Amino acid sequence: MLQVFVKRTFRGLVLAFVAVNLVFFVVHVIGDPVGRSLPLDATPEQYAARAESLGFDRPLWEQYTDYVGDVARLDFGDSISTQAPAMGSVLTRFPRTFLLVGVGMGLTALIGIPTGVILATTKRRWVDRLGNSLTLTALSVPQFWLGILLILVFSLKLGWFPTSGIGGWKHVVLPSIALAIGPLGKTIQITQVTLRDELQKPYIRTARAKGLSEGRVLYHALRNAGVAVATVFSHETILALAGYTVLVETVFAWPGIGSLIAEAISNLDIPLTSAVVVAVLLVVVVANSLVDIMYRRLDPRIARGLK
Amino acid sequence: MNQPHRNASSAPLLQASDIHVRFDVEGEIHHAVRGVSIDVAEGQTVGLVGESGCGKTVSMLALVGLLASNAEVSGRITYRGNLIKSHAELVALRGSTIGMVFQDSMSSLNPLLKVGVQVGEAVRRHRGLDRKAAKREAIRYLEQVSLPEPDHVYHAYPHELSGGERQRVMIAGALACEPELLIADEATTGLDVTTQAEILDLLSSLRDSRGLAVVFVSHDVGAVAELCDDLYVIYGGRSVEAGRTSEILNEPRHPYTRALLDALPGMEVRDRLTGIPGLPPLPHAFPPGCAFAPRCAQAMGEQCNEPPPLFTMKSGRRVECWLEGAVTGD
Repeated sequence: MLQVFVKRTFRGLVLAFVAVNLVFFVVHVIGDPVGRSLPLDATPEQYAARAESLGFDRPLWEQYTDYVGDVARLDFGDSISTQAPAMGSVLTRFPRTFLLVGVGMGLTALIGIPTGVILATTKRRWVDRLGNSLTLTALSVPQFWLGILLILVFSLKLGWFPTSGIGGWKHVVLPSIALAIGPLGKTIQITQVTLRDELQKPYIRTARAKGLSEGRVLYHALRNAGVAVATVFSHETILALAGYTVLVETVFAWPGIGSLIAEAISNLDIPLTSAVVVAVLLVVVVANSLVDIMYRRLDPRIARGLK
Repeated sequence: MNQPHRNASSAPLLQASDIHVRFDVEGEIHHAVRGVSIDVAEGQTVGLVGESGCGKTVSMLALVGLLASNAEVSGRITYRGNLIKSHAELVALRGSTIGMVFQDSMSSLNPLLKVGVQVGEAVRRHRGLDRKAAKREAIRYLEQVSLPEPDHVYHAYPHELSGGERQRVMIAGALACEPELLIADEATTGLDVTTQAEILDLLSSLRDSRGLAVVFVSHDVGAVAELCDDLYVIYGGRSVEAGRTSEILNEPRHPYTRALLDALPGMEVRDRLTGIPGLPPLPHAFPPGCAFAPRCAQAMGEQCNEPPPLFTMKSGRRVECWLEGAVTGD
């Protein structure tokens, strides 16, 4: 276990180094961060002054070593566009995305897994058909389109929820539904397919031969379907935490990490982009380790390196 | 270990007559079991033998209602003289009355649950014990199937045990329901010969100590025959010969039984294995008359295209073959 932890930490550091370097070079190669931070009609003098104040007039090599040194000390500096400390913005924005993802994935689990179980065990053909078409719809609805539709119906027409922004619990409802729809489709599908598969396996016959209740038989199958369901579910969660929420955050003007990534990149804001990238990386590495621990709990064969 | 002529009480426990099983495979009907009748008396040991795919397992699964939903079962089943009238009544027999042990203990045990839990859950279900008491009972059953260090084995997962140990766990799970009849479906297939003998030993000692009735289902006549009071030879979804094991082994009447016994490896070195030429027919393509006729060395031509008559001998032995009529003249 300790060995795994060390290995993971090391791999995370290497990843962070590569990502931070990429940010630096991509920004310098493709863009002009100084020009981007000035109005379009800025004079060459203003430009030169700005470049000097941001340190962009120094040799690239010097800029690079300074930058990497600062990042290594977790000093990301101030955002070019907002002048506020970069890590500060990240730390205010991330909890909001956590909230959105938490509620969205909570909904996904609460609705998706039971629905998958019902679809896997139903003997009624119409339930199966209805479920499958709903699942397919959930899978193919674009997030941003659903977001706009939800705003139109539930905010503008019915007035039940606010259109956008953050505030009370009402602000969370629509964006988390929009965020949950794709993962919900996938969760239903994987639960249904793997559970149906597991229910055909010989150990289920053994369980039934012991005269166990259908509920207990289902528990046997669910334990085994769990690994696949957890894989899909955690994959979706990690994607969302890594900034996949950007579309939903944009549609609902939700000031989370996703929209911060979008802003930082479009402003070629090196300090902010680096801060976001390092923070997201950290979250992903930690989340992946949690997923690993969960796997070990779910399947003893993984814990003993047999699978 | 073997007591073929034990004085088994003759009170009928399970009587199944004229069992038919039809599978609906995408609209095509596969008539896999075509009128098998089996009687098991209290404390009796019965063997069902025949090649793979002849309908042995399917008939047994039909008796406990464990077939897939595309199977249609007909026939008459009585348990202790009570006629089973519905699938629900059949399901109610599972576990507490009829226990089953399956082939391939690796896939027949849940890979993600501790084996002790898989034994204990049966106890909890049938005797309503709480978790702690169920655990104590589970350990007791693990001990009864001669697993060393049952406290330790309780916490093991199936992949951590050997094939023989897993099979013992499965037997413990079946015993934990305290059944009166145990069906061992190819319970020793896939185990090495020594382990096979140990498991058969265990099953017969449990049978003797608990007065269990046991049905051995096996493709290997040699492995189980000596344990069984009665033997049913199954072929093409029918029981082609049935009677006392000793009589059948001494004087097999049906050509298929003879072929099956001839195919057993002998002790002498000179013996070459004699197989049965050809393959058993598939359930969707059974020949119209005697299912064995196409492979039968003594087939009598035209006549064998008609369903063979049933001959019941004085000893109660039943043989389904046209030869019986020709030889004995009845």
